[in-house]
Amino acid sequence: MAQEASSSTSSKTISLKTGDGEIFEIEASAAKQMKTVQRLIDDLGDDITIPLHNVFSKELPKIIEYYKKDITGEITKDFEAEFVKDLNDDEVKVLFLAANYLDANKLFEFLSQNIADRLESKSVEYVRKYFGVENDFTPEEESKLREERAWSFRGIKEDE
Amino acid sequence: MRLVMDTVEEEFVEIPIPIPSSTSSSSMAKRPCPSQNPRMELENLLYQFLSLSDRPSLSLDLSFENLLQSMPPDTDLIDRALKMGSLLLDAAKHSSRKRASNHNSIVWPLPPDLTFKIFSMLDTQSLCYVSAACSFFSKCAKDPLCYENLDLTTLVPKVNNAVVATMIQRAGKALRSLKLGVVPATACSPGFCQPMVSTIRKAIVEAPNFSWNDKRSRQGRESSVLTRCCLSPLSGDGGAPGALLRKLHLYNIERMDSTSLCGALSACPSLLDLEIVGIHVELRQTLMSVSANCHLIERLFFESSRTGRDDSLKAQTCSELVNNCPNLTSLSLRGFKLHDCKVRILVKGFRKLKYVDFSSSYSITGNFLRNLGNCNGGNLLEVLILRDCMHLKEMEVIRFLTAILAGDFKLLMHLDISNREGLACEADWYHRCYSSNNMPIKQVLEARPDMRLVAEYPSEGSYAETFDAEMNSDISLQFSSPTSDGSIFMSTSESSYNSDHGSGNEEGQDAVIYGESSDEDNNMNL
Repeated sequence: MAQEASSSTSSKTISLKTGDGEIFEIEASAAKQMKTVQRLIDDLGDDITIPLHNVFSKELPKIIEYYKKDITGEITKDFEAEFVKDLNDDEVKVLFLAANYLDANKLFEFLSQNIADRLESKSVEYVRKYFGVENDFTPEEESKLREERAWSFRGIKEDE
Repeated sequence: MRLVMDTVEEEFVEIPIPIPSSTSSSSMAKRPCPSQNPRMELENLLYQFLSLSDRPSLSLDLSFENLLQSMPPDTDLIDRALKMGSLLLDAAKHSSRKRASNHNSIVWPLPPDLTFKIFSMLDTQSLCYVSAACSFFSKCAKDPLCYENLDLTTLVPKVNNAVVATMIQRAGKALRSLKLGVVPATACSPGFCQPMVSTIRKAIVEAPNFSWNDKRSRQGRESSVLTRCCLSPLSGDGGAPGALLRKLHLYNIERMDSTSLCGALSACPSLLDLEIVGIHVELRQTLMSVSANCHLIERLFFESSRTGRDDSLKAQTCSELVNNCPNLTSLSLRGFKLHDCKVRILVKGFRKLKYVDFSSSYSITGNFLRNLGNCNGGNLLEVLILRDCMHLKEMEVIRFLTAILAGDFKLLMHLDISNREGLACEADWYHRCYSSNNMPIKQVLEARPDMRLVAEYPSEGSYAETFDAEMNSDISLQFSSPTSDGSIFMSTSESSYNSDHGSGNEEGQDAVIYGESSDEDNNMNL
């Protein structure tokens, strides 16, 4: 039956196939950080290309880049700042959802914080636009919510 | 009623049923043939009616008016139209919301527990905005973890008891930190700092976009002011919210009094960090309450609302506090009348005391510092701030500095003995000593290059600091600048010693600092 990838062979790479058919290689130790991938390895063996239906070739390289840095222990504040600097809000969201799918905890936490930072002091409309959600409140609920936040006095940033 | 229904039906039949134009982009989809089912009948009627909207020259008002005129005068047709119109509108809105919710659940596939993970990283204000985006977010944002650290401070009075109660209730036993009250803007840009204002009035006047008319017009409606029992929700629900509360910071809550504050403290046995600024409470009563309830306390920061007039502290209070709260590492009592003997009990008695700030105190002369360096309390001191203590004697300061030179207070990293009125002369405190020439400052700095020593005094007759370049210690101009959350950062060797609110008497003057400023994390941003 399928054996767990031996952690002593640290140079071993795993093949990952994205939802749109592209194949990427990662180190076995990096794959360990993505629990979904690790589970699939445990089930299917580490010689098989692991299929990732919900992750695509646009975001997987970025995720791999993050964990490549992680296994060498080089993730610093500077690296993290650089990592998200050029990402627009949508790209961060897609990465965040991918990290969730892959059960990649460290990246997930980091991106959660980044999304929270992007939402700080933003208006309601901005938040809606960012997540792509629509207003589904009744007028009464809306006015109640408006009342609840009436105390927040600090200036809200202009929508970008 | 049936009669009227038939009449309407007849009328309806006479109006030619429009065939939706296939070229119109807003035309409705064709529906299957109507059956005899009564529910289907209503749906068909609805369909027919709504198809009317495709008509290019729809004049619903004209047709309605004509219909009305053809009816007997006592007809209730108008009421019916109003009622049906309203029902249809409500139905359309309801369905629209339902579709929006469905859309949202596709667009945001995360389950609640992951969603509120993001929300729990937001500050309280941003959380309110996020929770108003859609109903799913609103639900997620109600999770207690999002309310772990409540920051309800505002620039002007805006929060009322209801807001506080709601937030505390949502936090429940997840509540760990609560900041409440009015914190005036410091309006600092990097490099300089305006005088801190501690009175609400001045703060309100200086706050942007606020006018007194606004405040007056609110009087009639629900008050935007916190009353004395604003903290009672901490005791609610069996005391769950207060039970694990670690940090409580209260600023300028006009109506709070000793009784209500002590009541709140009695609900917070796990409190580690208590900061009270500008609240009309008596020092002694407050410390007694801390003594009785908050045995784990590590940091106490009190700034009086009536500078120099609270004389309530008694020796017994100090002894009790020392006995009941052995974990205290940081003690700030600013703007009170403190006597050396009582202060000595405190400084000697707390075995873990590292940070002491008695700025703007009255009555203390510095006598309490004598022979402190080599006994239990005192020799762990890392920070000692005695800014603007009006009765602090130059002689005592000299004595203290001499003790440092002799090797006492080995851990002292930061000493601030500045006074904008100069230090008191020995005989008569009306006479002030303005220069630091008598004090062995240079020697101390040579002996203790790791220490930061702040000693700003006005030159006689003026308030400007003029220190000659001949003073050959490292002189670096440093300014107070706020940390990112708008608080004044007191330069200390450990960044945990943050003061969220400066004393009303402190002015942001240029500080000429003697001594090495080698610690990167102490540097203020210029």
